[in-house]
Amino acid sequence: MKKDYKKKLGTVFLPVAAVVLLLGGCRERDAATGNNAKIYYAAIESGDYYEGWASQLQEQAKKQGCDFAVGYAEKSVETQDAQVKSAVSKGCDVLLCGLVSADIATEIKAAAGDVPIVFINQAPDDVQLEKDYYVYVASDEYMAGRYQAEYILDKLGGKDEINVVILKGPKGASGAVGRTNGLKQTLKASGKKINYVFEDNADWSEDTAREMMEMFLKTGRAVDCVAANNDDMACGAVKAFEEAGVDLGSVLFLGVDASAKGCQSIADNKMDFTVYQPMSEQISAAVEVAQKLAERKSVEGIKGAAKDGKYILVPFEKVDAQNVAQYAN
Amino acid sequence: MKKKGKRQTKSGKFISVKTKLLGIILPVVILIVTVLTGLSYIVSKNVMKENAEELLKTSVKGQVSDIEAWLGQNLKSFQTAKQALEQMDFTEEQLQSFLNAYYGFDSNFPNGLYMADADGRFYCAEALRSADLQKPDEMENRALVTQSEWFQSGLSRVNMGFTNAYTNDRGEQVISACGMLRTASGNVRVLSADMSLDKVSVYVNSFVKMEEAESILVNAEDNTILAYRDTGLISKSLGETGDTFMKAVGDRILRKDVAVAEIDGNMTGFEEVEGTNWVLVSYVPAKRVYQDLNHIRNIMILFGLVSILVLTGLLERIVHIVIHPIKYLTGVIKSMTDGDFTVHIHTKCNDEIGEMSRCIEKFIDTMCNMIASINKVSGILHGQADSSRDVSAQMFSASKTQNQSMKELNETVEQLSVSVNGIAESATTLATLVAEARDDGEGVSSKMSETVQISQEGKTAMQNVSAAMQNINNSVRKLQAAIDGVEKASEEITNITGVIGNIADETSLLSLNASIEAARAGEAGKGFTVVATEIDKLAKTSMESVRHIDSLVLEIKSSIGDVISQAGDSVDNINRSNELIEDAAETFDVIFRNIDTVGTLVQQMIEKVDKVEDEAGNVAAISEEQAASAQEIAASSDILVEQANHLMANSETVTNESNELTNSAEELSEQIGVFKIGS
Repeated sequence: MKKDYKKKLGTVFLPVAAVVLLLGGCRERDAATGNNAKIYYAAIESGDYYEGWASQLQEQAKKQGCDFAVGYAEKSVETQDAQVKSAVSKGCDVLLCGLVSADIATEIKAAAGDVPIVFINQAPDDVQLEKDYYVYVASDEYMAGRYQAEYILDKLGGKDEINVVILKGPKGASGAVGRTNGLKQTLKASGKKINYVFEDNADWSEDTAREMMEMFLKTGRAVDCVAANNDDMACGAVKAFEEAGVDLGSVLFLGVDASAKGCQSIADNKMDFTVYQPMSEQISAAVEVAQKLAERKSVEGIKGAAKDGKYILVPFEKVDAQNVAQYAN
Repeated sequence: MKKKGKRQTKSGKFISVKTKLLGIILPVVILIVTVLTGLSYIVSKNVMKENAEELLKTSVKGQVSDIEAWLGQNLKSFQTAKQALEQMDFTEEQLQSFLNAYYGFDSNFPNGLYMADADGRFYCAEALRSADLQKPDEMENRALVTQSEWFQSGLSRVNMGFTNAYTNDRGEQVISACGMLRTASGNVRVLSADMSLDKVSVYVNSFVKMEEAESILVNAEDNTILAYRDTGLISKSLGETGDTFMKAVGDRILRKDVAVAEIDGNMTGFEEVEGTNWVLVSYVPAKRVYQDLNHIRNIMILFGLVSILVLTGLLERIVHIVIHPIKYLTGVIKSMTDGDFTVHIHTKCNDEIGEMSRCIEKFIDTMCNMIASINKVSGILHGQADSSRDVSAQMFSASKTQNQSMKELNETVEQLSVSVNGIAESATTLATLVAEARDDGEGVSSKMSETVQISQEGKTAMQNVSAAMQNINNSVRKLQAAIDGVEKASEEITNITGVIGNIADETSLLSLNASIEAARAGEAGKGFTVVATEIDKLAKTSMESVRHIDSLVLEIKSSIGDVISQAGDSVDNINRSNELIEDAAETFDVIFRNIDTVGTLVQQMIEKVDKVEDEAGNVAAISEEQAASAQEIAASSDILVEQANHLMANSETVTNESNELTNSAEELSEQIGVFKIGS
């Protein structure tokens, strides 16, 4: 009787299992071995910056034994779409994608079909990401802001009230928002009274930052530190303060990126702090994730992998007068 | 039968296959349907929840982007105006007319733009200024302006941006868009425009995209409500409202925990408004979200119940149809079990049950044939057993008879043997006796001679005796005459004694009279009395003596009588003896002659006896042989008897067995009789 029962169950479950396998199998079709995965980098545009990315990615991919190809969309949504489609039809196993615009993530995902995507350079919306399938590899912007705040609190720890100037990137830019939030929330958590005496979008621009600071300085408001979302704006602030004849030593200037200009400024004892965005680590992380996704494996265990499996956040490194020499090149 | 009994005792009570099948399948089906319905419900619930959350998220996002767009649009207007101001480098009058032009230009900021410099100089539309009844002191006013929310906030940025919500000097709940104006002179000027919070509320509420959804615009910095349907709560902190939901929302905002969540029965979504510290909180009662779900649940439960009912009915029918032949078969098998093989199975099934039916039909046929042949065989067996029993009974009685006969024979033979032995013995005895007889015969012969001689002598003695007898006779006659004289004498004596007796009697009577007389005389009589008595005594003694003589005479008389009779007798006897002796003498002669004859006969007999002796010897020998033979016969007949006994015992066993066989045959036919096989 029991045997019959099992048989019956078997006859019920076998077709079900078969259907499930067939349906589930669709995605498994192209699972590749990580060692010879075909990687396609859909870059935002040509030019030094992204070509630099491409060459480093290629180098890393070769090191891992993967095929690598690149296409530059030149900021055209249509071009990127076409490039992705073509790459997929040529049998690429995984895409590295710098979205021309965060808004076209859906379109690119559609063009990629079953191929998993590693987003870099440009953050897509959180909802567009999917655990172990659509993953964003980036620096942890929030941490950059947090490092700035920690530096401020370290240096101005004696004060109960801190007057802060924030110079932000363009409105809505992921870097600008993340860094600003990291900064503000960490400062707020300190329990000190934080006065944001000036806060405006200087749009990554040194000149805009300089002009804003000139105007700000005219208000005569007290200031303890200028935290900029990038080094350029910090440098612009430094210039404005220099021109106004303010003692740079009395004000902290903080940037992000550890750009050559920024490092120089720190070395010159003008800027006080910046955060290094380790590109090479982002690149190796991107390739590692690409390999995992090509194999349809989990990104769990990769350094910086978020618990939700959607993000790989490569940590920043703190740069100040003590260690600026090793970043200035 | 046995199996059935066993099964019944084992399982206790009968449960039909149908019940079992349904008992197994129905719970499984019900379970599956229930699980499927349950799963569908859970999946639907999750999907609906996700959808609702997604919708809420999208809605909040949409609202926020609408608000952002609205704010952005206004900001752009302000920015445009600001740029114009920065680039045109207006004179005081031109500035005034510019500001006048913006008064009432846009309903979002009906009061238009206004401006102040670091010295507190305030510029605004003339209409606004005239509407402002209060004309405070110039210096005081200036200080107020530079300390105002919008001015201070404006100093912290160049691009136009929003202040927190505050109450302006006209007592209105507003937010201001403000920013530092770039001036050629380098003076610090702040341009600003007020936007009514009520207006913002209208916008916030009008952007609500979900049914029954409501929104709160909150300043994340201090959790004050910027916009809400209930305008009375505007500018209040979320914590101050006293509403647990609001408080929980406030806590979450402070914690930056802005994921969609169900808070206090409301599905709540958070979205930050870019470029501000604002957070839009949209919420929809979870009840509303699950309303459809409840509907779906009811439908699903109904569907599940209907499915179960339909499936139950369907299954019952299917099982019934499938089981029907089995039921029929069970009936048939039951009949078969009871021995009824007259049943017939009609099946059109082409499945296992059909196969089973056909097999059983075949089996019934086979059984019918088998039982019939068994029946036949048992009949034959019965007949054979009967005849065998008869035969064995006959044999038994025969053997019994034989046995009896043999016994009798045996006895006869034994008797024969005894007889023969007796004969032999008799023959032997006879021979001996014959021998003795011959000897005796010879003795007889000699004695005969002696006897003849003695008889001769006796004859002579006889004649002497006769003479003597004559003498005696004479003597006796003389004696008889003597005796007659005596008798006459004695009779005379008797007469005399008689006379004496009479005298004595008379004497006695006289003495008695004398005594009486004497007594009468008294003393004088005494002597007489004594004499009387003596006389009496004498009389009496005389009497006695007389009597004695009488008896003596009588005795002599009888003795003489005797002697006379005896003498008479003797005479008679002697006379008779004389005759007898004469007869004897004659007899002696006869004897004499007879003895002579006997002597010759004895001689002849002796001769015969010799012959008999010889024959008797032969007879004894033959008899002995016969006896030996008879003993042999007896021994043989003993064996025969023994064998006859065996035979009888065996035939008895045979009879018993054949009886048993008969019984078995009867039993067999009886049992076979249980099966009905029809014709």
